[in-house]
Amino acid sequence: MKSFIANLPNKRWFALAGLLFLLFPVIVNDSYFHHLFILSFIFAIFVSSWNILFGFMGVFSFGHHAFFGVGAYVSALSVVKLGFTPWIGLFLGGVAAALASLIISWPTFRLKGPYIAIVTLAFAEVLRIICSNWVDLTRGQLGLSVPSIFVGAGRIQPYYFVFLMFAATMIILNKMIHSSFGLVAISIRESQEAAESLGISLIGYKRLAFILTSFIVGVVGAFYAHYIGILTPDVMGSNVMFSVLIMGLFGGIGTLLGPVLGAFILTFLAESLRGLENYRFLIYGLVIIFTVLFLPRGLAGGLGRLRTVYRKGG
Amino acid sequence: MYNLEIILRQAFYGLVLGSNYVLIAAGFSLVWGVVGVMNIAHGEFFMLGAYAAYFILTFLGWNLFLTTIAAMALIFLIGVFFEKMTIDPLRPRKKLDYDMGTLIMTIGISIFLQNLALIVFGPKYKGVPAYFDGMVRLGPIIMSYDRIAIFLVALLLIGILLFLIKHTRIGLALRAVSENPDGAALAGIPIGRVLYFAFGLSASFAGAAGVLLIPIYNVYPTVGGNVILLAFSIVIFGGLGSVKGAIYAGFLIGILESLAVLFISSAWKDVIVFAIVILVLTFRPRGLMGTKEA
Repeated sequence: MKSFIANLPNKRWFALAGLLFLLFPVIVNDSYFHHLFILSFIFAIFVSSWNILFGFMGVFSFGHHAFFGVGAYVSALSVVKLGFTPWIGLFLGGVAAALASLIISWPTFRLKGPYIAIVTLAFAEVLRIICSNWVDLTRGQLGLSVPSIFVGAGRIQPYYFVFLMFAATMIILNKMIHSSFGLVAISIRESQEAAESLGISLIGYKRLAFILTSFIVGVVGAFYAHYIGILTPDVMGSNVMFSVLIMGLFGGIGTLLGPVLGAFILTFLAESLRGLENYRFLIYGLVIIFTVLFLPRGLAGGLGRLRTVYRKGG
Repeated sequence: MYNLEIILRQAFYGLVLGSNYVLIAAGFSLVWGVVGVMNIAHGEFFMLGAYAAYFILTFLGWNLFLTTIAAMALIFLIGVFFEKMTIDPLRPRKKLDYDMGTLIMTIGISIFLQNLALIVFGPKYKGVPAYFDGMVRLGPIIMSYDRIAIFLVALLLIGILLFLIKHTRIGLALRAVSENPDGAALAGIPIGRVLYFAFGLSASFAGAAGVLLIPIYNVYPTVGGNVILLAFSIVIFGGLGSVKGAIYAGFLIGILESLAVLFISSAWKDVIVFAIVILVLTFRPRGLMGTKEA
């Protein structure tokens, strides 16, 4: 299974997949499935970006959901309270998320591994609590009503828009991975000390990774807000982060395909398990345990060597 | 309104809580130092201990001491089980894979246990009546026997832990593995069994805190979440790998928290705790008394 996926001749398959995605709403008329695909795309973008930091660079960013939420709220509020159009909102959401990442990332540069996880998680929680309690601004748990980006109801427009965002993100990330940035990221993951001794500015690259990935996640978070139409602080909750974690892990961190696979499979899995409520999270827990034990590289066989990235095209 | 009596009473309450926080934090720090794992599921051992206490007390009617011992034994075994099944298999991996894997694994265990408890025990808070009734007046403060008992048992357990670590062979083994696992292995220490013991011990102490605190906190499936946050803060505050640091920090934070409640609403309390954690890690990556680099 692992080598099957890793050995697919890439360009043609991706073109085919792209075509299928484009034709999907035409072939399948069910609005519910459109919704599932939209959610999957949103998470695919989210997980892929996060994966740059976690899978490729080895930075344990467990607070990435904060950027998602910041993007969502900033965009929503700028539209609702300041009267901007949602398009500007999306951009502002991304910028706000990037700014937040500057703050959040700063303490992490001196820390190692799991400590980065704690700090980023703590930051995210602080933001969530502030969001939840600042009811005057955000309406907290009551929910903030967010206008849609598109005129008219229906899922077709959001579908194509998010697919475009997805395709753009994938192209950008692919370029990044195959550039010197990608090499640097992997070298930082494998050995920070060695990378530094070769003159790589650890802080510079980490900061860059944070800013870029948070911007993307912020924009997609903003999109999510306008798509769903109602926003609560749960969007910045740790449940979101754990979902991202499972999707990345299961799909295969350290590859480009993995997060996408994970996002789609787990979004559909979550929906099919919806009836089971509490058993759903129980199964998530089991999925995590079994994946770490038996599929540590995920479905797509992530954390590959440098050679693999360059030869098999990610 | 904030007269001396209230402040002293809260301070004592802080000692009661703090002593239990020490139990929780010391266990967390122990696993961190000896097994090299940041056990996100640590709070769930607290939760399981509390549920064990609930069932023992409600259906068997044992007293405080028996309940504590029984629960500790049970949670010890559960801890060993999890170590053997989920952490042990990860040991041969490279450092990055091990760090990543164990962290994520404990997250998975945490999610699994929380939801298992939710399904099996139901979401409602379960409580028990106080262990002892009655109050006593000591100087300006009135304290309940219940809380005094909890405090004393917790102190006793802390004492046992310290004795274990400093004056027994197993304690020596724990310290050796914590400082240098390879060296310890070369010296003939059975690493596997030491790890099982460390995990079991850590879990049982968290479980003990669960037993002791159930009359105050009640128990519900997600109670571990709050606990793990506190454990983090204390361990980071007091310094990683330092049980003594965990002790100082545990009491300190217990008292601070109880006094803070007088002045700030509890919603913002978590924010302050988080903010302190972030600040400490930013400016002193070792924690206040840490021996291990963050």
